[in-house]
Amino acid sequence: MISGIVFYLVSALLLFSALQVVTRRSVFSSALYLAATLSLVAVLFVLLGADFLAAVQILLYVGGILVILAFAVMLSSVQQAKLEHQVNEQWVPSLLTCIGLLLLIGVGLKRTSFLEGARIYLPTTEPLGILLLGKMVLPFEVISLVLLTSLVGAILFSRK
Amino acid sequence: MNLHHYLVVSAILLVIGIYGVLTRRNIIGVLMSIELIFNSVNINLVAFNHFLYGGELWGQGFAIFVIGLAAAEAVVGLSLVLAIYKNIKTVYVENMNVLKG
Amino acid sequence: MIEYAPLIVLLPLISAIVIFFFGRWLPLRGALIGILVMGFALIQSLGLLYHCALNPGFIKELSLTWFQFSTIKTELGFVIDGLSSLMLVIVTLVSFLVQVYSLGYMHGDPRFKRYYSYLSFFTFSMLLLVVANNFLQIFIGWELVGLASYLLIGFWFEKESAASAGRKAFITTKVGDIGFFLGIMSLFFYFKTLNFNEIQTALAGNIITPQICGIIALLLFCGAIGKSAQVPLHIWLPDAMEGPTPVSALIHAATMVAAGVYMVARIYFMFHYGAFSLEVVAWFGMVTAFLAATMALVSTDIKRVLAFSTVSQLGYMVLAMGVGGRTAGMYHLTTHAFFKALLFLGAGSVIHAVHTNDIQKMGGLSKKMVWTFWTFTFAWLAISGVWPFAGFFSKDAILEEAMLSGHIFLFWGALFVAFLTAFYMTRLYLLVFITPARDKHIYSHAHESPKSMVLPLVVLAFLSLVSGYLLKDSIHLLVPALDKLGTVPEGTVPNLSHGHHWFVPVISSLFALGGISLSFLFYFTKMFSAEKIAATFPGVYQLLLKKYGFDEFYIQYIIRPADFIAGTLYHFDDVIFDQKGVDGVGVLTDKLSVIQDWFDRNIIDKLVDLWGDLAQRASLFVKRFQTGLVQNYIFFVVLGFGALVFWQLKLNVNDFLNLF
Repeated sequence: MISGIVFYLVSALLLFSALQVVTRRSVFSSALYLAATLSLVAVLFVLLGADFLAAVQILLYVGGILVILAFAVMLSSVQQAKLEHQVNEQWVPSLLTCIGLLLLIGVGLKRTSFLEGARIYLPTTEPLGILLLGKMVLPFEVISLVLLTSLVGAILFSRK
Repeated sequence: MNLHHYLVVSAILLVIGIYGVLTRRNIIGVLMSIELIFNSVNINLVAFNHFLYGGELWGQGFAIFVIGLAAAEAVVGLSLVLAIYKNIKTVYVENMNVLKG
Repeated sequence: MIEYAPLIVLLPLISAIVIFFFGRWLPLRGALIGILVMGFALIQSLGLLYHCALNPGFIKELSLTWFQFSTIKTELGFVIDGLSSLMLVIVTLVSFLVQVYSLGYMHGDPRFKRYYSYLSFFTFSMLLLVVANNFLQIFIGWELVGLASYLLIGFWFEKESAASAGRKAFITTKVGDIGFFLGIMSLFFYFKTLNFNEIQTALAGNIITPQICGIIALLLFCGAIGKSAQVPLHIWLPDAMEGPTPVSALIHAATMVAAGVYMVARIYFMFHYGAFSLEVVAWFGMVTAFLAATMALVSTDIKRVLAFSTVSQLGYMVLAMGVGGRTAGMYHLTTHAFFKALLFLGAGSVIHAVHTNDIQKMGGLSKKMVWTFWTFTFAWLAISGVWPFAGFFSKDAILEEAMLSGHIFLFWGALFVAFLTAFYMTRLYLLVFITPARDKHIYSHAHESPKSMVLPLVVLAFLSLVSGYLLKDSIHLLVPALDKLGTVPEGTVPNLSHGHHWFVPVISSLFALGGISLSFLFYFTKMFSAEKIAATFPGVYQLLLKKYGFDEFYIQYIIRPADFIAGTLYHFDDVIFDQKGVDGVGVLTDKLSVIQDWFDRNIIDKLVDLWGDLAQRASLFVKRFQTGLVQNYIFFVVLGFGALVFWQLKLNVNDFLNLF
């Protein structure tokens, strides 16, 4: 019961924050709301028993990506017209499309019924580590290459 | 709270993210919306893993990689944004239409 | 002898061709060949004549089949009997003499060789006609002599009058030939053959009635009307005098014009069988003789007087044929050939000396041109019918026939024409030779002609004197009269000099001498004046001078309408074909091209433009999608994804209801 209330509360906040992300006029405000969203997602992970992932989420997303985002926002902030209309001209069709898409996904969800198994709440750090370096070692190595590439690319882009 | 609820949440998050991608004028806003989409995906993965695959952690492993990729992508994207900003002194997407026509 | 008959006909043809093509390199420019060939032909012909005279009733026929269509045959034939051998001699003799004469007359003419070629060609054609044994061949010969006549009349074609005279001769005789050809075709239709003998024997079988035979005979006679210059087709002969005088002597006095008479003689059986045809023929002859004699009274051109005289004498011959005197007609043809040729050649000699045809400018030439004068005198006496010259005998024969056949009017008419003949010939004779010279300039220049011209004159003068007497009896052997069946009576030599033995010669001599003396009174002693008579009867004088207006009549009522019709048709044709045809095609093409242009411009071009336009509009339309904004692209991606999901879901109403 409590997990139910928490879930609903968290979900509500999550969705609210997400909406704010896409509708705020000031980019910086959007960034902050994004931070909130990401954090709330981490809470959701906790609810789902993925404790390590929640930590990783906070660390990487909020602590890494969001910081970079904030840097970018600061570096590219346009002084004038800060309160300009932030939604472009195709917002009506995209709104409609998105609502339609939502409905379709809803229909799809409604049709399928999943055979749920047991919900296990165990610490995930060690199994995850074993998994990553065991059965998922290839993606692990590849992603390190990807990260390397992106690093190189970023450096390249920021050179004169 | 069963799977359906989490899926609905992630669906809504996804749609909001798509809406943001299609709508935001600021290019950094677009990137932020993309992050939202990534997150919705993560929620999906973890939810499926939790409710249907007890004991196994493949979903979560996948989610970690998604986070890693999201990070890499954000880095590259933002450095692009900065490079563009240096060139055309604006971050509004509607001004970035060199390929128009 | 008979074997040489084809040679007689063919050698002149060969010589004509040889002279025409190779005359330049031959001695005397081919004239020698012509004369030698003609001499050879003459000797052969004399031989044949002698043979036929000794064997009365002799007839030999040589025939080569030319075309054969199952039962119908056309042939090239040579028939030698008294009639044809007589004609052979006449033709070859006169042709020979004319060719000798022309050595002098045509000396220095630039187309000398061509002249001799034409003469040989004419002789060939005439001989082909004479020896013919079927209608086709006689018709071929007929046309060929017409062609030769045209070529020779218009020999000096630089002169407009000569060229048109040639045309006139050709076309006028052609008019007659139409009737001739219709007659031949009718014969072929009835008898399926054109051979004289076959037709003669077939006539006895009553295939055609006498009436039809008479009509056919008259159709055939049409050819003779044209060729022998009977009224109304006589108009070409006076104009034919434009040709060289030897030509006039040969063709238009002695031979070609006689072809019509010969033809009548040859097919006499047809006229015999046909009921009324002989009457018609006789009247044609009478009218012709009379009209032509009157026209000769007033003419002042020496050759024209002789031309009218020829027409008149031809009328005489035709008249003889018409009253049943086949023998007399041929007799007169023979003697006429000699003295008329002599008259023409003598006139030619005079013209050669004084360079003019106008007798009013001549006079007193008897002292300057002795040989010509004396030979002309012989001819004058012959034609006037004075004993013992040739014309006396032949004219008498005709007059006897006329009287014996009962045509009294024709008899007196012929006598009157004889009177006129004597009158105008004497007039000519006096004005040219006897009366004092009127033009001193011409008189002083006059001179006698060269020997080549004088020699033929002498020969002909001799013949004019003796031929009458020589042929008096033998003519009956050569050209026997035909009995009612149209065949020669066996073994009889009809002698016509019975009964009226003395009447006809006496009265004809009276008329002849009367004519001569009257003429003397008019022109020599000037007791009567021709000018006063002309002034007293101006209408008659004008009528005669205008030759009875035949030419004017034809021009007005035949030539002008024909010209008008031709012009109208041409104009019509021109307009129709030019306007409708050429211009029509042009206008049609123009209109079609306008349509095509419209089509091309509006449809084809628009079609082309359409695609370009379409492509442009499509691209303009599509261009709108390429905004350059990534968000738009992503929108479409999302849209597509949504559509995919939509289709995969296969929605129904329940889904919507269950949604909430």
